[in-house]
Amino acid sequence: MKYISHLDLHRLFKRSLKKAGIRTDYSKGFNPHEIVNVVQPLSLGFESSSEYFELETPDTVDRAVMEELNRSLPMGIAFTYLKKLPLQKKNLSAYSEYATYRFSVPAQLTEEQTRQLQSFMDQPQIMVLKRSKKTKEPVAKDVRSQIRSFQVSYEDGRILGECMLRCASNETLNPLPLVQALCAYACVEVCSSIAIRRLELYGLKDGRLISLPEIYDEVL
Amino acid sequence: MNCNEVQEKLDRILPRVEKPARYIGEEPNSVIRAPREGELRFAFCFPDSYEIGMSYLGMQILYHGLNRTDFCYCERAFAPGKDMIDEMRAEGLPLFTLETKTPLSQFDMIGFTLQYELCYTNILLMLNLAGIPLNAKDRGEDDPIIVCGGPCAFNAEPLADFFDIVLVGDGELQLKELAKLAHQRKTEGFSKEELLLRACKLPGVYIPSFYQPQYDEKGRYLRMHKLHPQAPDQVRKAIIDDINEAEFPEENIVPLIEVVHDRSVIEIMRGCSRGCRFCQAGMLYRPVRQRTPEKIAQLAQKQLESSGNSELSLLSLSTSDHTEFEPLVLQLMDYCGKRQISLSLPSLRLDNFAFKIMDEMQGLRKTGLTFAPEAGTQRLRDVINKNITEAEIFTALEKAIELGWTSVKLYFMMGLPTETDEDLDGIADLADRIMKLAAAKNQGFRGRFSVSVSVANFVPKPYTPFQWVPQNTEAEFERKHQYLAAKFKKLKGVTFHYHDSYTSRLEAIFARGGRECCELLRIAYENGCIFDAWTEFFNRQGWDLALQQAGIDDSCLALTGFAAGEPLPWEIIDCGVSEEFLLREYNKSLQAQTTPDCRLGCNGCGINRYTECKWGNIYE
Repeated sequence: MKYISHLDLHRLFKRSLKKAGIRTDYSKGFNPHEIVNVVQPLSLGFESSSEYFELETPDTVDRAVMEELNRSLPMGIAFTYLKKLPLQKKNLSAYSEYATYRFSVPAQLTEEQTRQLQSFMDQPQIMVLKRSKKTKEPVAKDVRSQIRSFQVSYEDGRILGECMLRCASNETLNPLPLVQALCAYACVEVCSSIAIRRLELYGLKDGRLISLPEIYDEVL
Repeated sequence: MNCNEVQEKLDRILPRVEKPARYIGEEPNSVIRAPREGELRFAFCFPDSYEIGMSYLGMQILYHGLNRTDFCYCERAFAPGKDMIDEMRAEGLPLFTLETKTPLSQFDMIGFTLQYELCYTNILLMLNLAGIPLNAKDRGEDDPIIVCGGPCAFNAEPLADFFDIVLVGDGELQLKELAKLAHQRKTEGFSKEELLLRACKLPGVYIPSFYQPQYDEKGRYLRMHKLHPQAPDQVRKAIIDDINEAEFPEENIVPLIEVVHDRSVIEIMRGCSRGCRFCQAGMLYRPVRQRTPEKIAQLAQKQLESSGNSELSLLSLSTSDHTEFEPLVLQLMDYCGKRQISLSLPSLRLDNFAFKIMDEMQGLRKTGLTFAPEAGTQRLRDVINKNITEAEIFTALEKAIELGWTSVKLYFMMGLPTETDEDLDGIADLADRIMKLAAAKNQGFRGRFSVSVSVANFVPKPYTPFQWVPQNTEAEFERKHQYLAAKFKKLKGVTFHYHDSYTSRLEAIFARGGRECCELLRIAYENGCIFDAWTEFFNRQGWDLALQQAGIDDSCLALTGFAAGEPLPWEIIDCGVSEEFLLREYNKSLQAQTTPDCRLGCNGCGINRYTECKWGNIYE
C-alpha cells in the first residue's frame, strides 16, 4: 500500500466512509467538498505505522463503525484508534512539528565506511539536495537545524537508522534525500532501494514533544 | 519465473517508476486468491494504460462473469507505461497479472479487448513483454490461446495472424462458453486444433487460421477460402436476446488510484435505433435492448454500496431513448440526492425534461453543454441521417443561455461523403450564429460566452452504410483544416480544434484493411510504435517507414474505398444487419434522403432474422 499517493489515500478514505454510510460535513462555497484531512502527506513509496485522518461528521463514529470501515479498506491499511476532537478551525496538520522515521539501506560496507557513517552528524553543516520551489532544480541546502535526532548503525549488510526530522506545515525535511546524503558521505553505493517508514508525528505542548493527537485533552 | 520472483523484481522496480500503484493490484473487489488445481487460468488484457482500462465497463462485466464460474479464474493485465516497459526489460521481468503476479505466458487463455484501432500495436507490445510468440502459427500446444473481442473484432483481419480465436457480438455468454471448452481441453487433454474446431461451432466464434483470403493479380481482395471443411461459411455475431438476463457486476473493482472515470456505471440500453449512417456502434449493437428500471435501480444501489463511489453514470448510445427514461431518472436522482452522489447522464437529448433535471442536478454549477451536429448544413446532416435540426439546436441553446450556461461545445466531422466547402462554411456559420444569439441574450455582453468547435476527420467503418466510400486524402484534410482555421480566426470567443489527419488515415487503414495489414502492424511495432493513440508518444517516422516497408500507400482499398457489390475483406463476419440494408441506406444518403428512427416503423435492417427486435414500430 506504500504506493498509494496522498490524494489517492484521501479518495480511499472518502469511499470507505461512503460505504459505511458515514456522512461528512461539506465545506461551504462555490465547489463544496467533504471536510476530511489526511494529516501531513507521506511521500510515495514510504511505509507508515502512524497516519492520522480527520473528518467532520454529524454521525457517531464508534469502534463498530471503525471495524466496518476497516472491512472496506484494502490489505495493509487499517484504522487502529479513534479520538473525538473539538470542532475548530485549524486541522491537526497545523500542530505537527516533527516526525520520526526508520530507514534501511542494503549495502556492503568496509570498516572505514562504517566509521564514516557515525561521523555524519559531526559535520557542522549537513548539505542535502532539495528541490527549489521556484525552479524545481535540486539545490544543496544545510538542513542541520531540521534534524532533531539521528542514529545510524550497520548490521547484517544493512545501514539501519532512526531519526526525528522537522515535519511542520511551513518546514519539512524529507528523510529520503537525507539518507542519500548519508550514503554519499560514507561513499556507499546504493545498489537497491532505500526503505523508509514513518513511525510517528509529534506536536509540542508546553515545550514537550507529544504524539500528535495528544495535543488535545480527551474530549468525549 | 514464479510469482515470488515476479514480486521480488517488482519490489526493486516500483520505487523508480511513475504511478507505481498501476502495477500492484490489491484493489477492493478484485478477486485475489490462490489458483485452484485444474481450473482455467484466464488473463484479461486491456491494450492501453491502467487508467483507461479500469474505466472500461466491459472488462468489469466479463471479469466478474468468469470469476463467478466454478472452472475459471480471471485476472487482469494492462499495457505498462513507457518507463515501466524499460525497467521490465532491463530487469528481465515478463508481463504479469495484477492479481497473483503470474507471468502471462503461464496462462491457459489470454483475452484482449479491441476498442480502438490505434491500440493495436500495444497488443503486440503486451505479447512481446510476456515472451509469447506474436504469430499464432508460431505458438505451440503449451502456449496460451490468444483471443480477442470487442467492436473492432468485427474486422479482425488486420490482426488475424496474431489471434487464435476472434469473438464477435455480445460477449457475456459467449466468452464463458469458450472458457468452458478451454477448461475441458485442460481436463481431457485434447489438442489445440480440436479446441479451435469445437470453438468454431459456437455463435460468434471466428478462427482466422481456418480461412485464407484470396486476392487477384492486382492485390484486390477476392474471397475467403475455407481451409477447414467444418468451419462455417460465415460467422454470425453472438446475440443476447434479453439483457435483463445478462450478467452485470454488482461489486466492481475499485481502483486505488485516480482513473479516467471514477464512477459506477450502469448500462441501461444496448443498441440504438436512430440509424446515423457513419456510426458503427449503431449498426453493430442492434437490436435495441433495454434493462428494466427496477433492474437498473437495483444494480445502481448495489454498485454504489459496494464501491463507495460518489458518482453514478448511465451508459447507452442514446440515453433519453429508454422508454421509461423520465421516471427512471427521477427515481435515481432522488436516491443519489439523499446520499451526496452525483448523477451523470451522457448522450442526453436536450429537450425540456433534460433542462429540468440538469437544472436540479447541478444546482448552481453549470458545466459545458455539448452538441454533436456532426455536419455544418442540413443537407449534409440528411446525408448522414443525423436527426438533429438547427431549430432544435437553437431552441435548446436559447434555453441554456437563459438558465445561465456560459459555454457550449460542438462536435463535427469533416470528409463526409458528398461534402463541399459550403458544408464547411456551415460549421463556422453555426458557431457564429450561436455567439450572436448569446450576445443578444446577454445584452451584448459576449465576453461571458464561449463556443468550442471540434472537428474530427471522418473514418469510414465496416458495417455502416458508408463502408464503401473513400476517405479524404491527407492533402484534402489539410486543405479543409486550413480553410476552416482561416474562417475561425475571424470569430471571437470561438475556439477551433481539429484532429491530426495522419492518425485518421491509419485508423481507416486498420478499420477497413485486410490481412495484409498484419505485416504493417508487425513492422510498425518493430519500428518502435506503441501507444499510437497518445499524441505525445506517436511515432510518425516509425509508421512512415512501416507503411513503406509493408507496401501500403494512399492507393490501398481501405483508403480509396470499394465499389458497391465488390467483395469486402471483412465479409466473413455477419454482423446481423444485412448488406442490402446498408446499400439501401448508402443510396438514400447520396440523394440526401433521411431514414426515420426504427421506432416509427421498421426499416428492415435484417437483425430480426436472428433475434426478436422488440423496438421496431413501437411508436408507429
